[in-house]
Amino acid sequence: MKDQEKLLIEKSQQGDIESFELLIKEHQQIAFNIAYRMLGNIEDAKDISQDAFIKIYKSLNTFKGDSSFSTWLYRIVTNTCLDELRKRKKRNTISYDNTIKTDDGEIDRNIPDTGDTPEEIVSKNESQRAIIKSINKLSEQHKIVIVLRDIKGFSYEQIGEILNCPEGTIKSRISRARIALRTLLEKDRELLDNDNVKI
Amino acid sequence: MKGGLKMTCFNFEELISLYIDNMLDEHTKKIVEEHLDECKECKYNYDAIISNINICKELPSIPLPDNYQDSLHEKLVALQEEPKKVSLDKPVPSTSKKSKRKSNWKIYATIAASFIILIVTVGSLNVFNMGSSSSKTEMAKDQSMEIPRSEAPSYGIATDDARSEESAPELKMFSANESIESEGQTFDVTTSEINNRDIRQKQSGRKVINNAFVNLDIEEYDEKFDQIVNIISTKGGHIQHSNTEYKHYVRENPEESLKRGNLSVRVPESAFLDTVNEIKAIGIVTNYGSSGEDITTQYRDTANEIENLKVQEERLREIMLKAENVEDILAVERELTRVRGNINAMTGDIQRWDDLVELSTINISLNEVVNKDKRIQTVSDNIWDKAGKGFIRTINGLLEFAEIIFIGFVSFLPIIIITGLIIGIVILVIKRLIRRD
Repeated sequence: MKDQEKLLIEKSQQGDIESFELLIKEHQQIAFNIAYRMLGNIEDAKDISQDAFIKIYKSLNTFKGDSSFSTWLYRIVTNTCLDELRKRKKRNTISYDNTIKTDDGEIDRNIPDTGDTPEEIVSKNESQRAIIKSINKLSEQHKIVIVLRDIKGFSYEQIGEILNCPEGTIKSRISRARIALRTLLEKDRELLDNDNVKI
Repeated sequence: MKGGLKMTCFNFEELISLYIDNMLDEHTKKIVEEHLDECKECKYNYDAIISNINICKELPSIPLPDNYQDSLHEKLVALQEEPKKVSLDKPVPSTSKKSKRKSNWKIYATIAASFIILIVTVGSLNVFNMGSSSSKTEMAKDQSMEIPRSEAPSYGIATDDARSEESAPELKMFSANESIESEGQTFDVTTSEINNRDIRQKQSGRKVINNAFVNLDIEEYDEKFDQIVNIISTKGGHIQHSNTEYKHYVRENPEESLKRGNLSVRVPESAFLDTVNEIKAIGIVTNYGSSGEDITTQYRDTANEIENLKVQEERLREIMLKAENVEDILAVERELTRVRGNINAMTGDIQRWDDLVELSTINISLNEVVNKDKRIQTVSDNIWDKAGKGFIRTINGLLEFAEIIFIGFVSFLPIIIITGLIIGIVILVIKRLIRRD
């Protein structure tokens, strides 16, 4: 397996696109899902994950093999997503995840995004929808660890390598992210209850 | 032990995730479990987080869009077709790199800033130095301008003397002074050649006396001086005269003293231009001039005159033989001496001209300068000493000034008193006059 990966990397470095596609095949869906959870919609997830793969292809020569290929790949994917989120912040000071305050309470800006995406239809589960909404409201640093740890199930060590942080930092960041997520969910639930009362 | 490590809820928040992920050692795990049993609030938090994690875990992994791989493939192919347009060495974008880039920017900015400071400092220092060095060169130029004017004619005289019959030994002395024996020898050869040369032979071709002067600013005076001596000797010339002196003698550090000097050298006419060019290459030329004096007609006239005088001399000798009484002999003798004298003088002229034409004269003025651009000047050791002296000088100046003011005031005091009295009286008188009115 490892040898095959090595061979594919070498071939890809020489410019063989087929080898490269074979190399990233098993990571494509995970990478796409990370991007989707990070960015919140399928179009962006597609573009950004593809951008990441192109970056990976272009900088394959700089891959030294000191970490595993998958870790390196996910590092580029997460960084591309984080860059995109930062760009969005700069481009648009009004975040999608911010709410508009009205007399009736708060309205999400990203109604179409959280509304009827295919995934949402699949997950009819109300708690899932709530948690996705809250994840989208998390700060990018909290969001990435929740996505990697709790959604994608990477180990602390892997997350440390992907984010290029010591494990200690990851530990505290994950715990803080989980607490932040819980707090957000709780607020949301209260809001929902209030709405229900009003209705 | 148990009491010491008793959980606070704040601590517990930090440990919840680790406990959930089973990342704690047995001991801490036990404590956490105990705390969860005790504290309801923490238990509630724990349950909430666990349920959240479980929801997250159950979130479905959504499939890739249908055209995902195709469009990626297209992008990759497009990339491969135009690999040059997209910079391949774009660094792997990672947060660490980002921060590195940021810190790089900071480093670059620091380096740039320090460079600017350095340049400004050096620049201001240079302005400082150039002020002094330019004044030095100006001074040097003034001096060198004077040298050719005052010394060139004196050379004429020197060569005049030298070209008289006794010139050879005298010139030998010059060369001996320079302690360049080989040159002395070559010169001997040339003089004897000139002496033996038939004047008529020399009448063919134009007679041009070449002269040049070169003023040079140089570093390393002694080295450059030797270099010039070498050039002259290789060209078959000699040094006719040289002089070196300190223009700026530093008593504390003689090595820093600057010299100036001048040389008058003679080189064969054929090597004249080469020599001048080589000398010019030694240092910075601050003044250069050359002249070619055509003396062909003068030379021919003199040569003819000599011929005539020689004929006259022959005749006089014939008359001398025929002369019978003492008076005639004396008269002829007198005439013969005059003619002989004329011939000698004119032959001397011819020989001098020959020499001047044969050996061109180059006057070189050397002026040693310190090039401050080349090495960083060390701060003088006695900078404090100098500063102290300067300080004392200023204080003394101030004291002197105060003294002068005081003396002036005291010496003017009588006048001031008298004028004060007069003005007082005048005012009193005026006041009284006004009152009367």
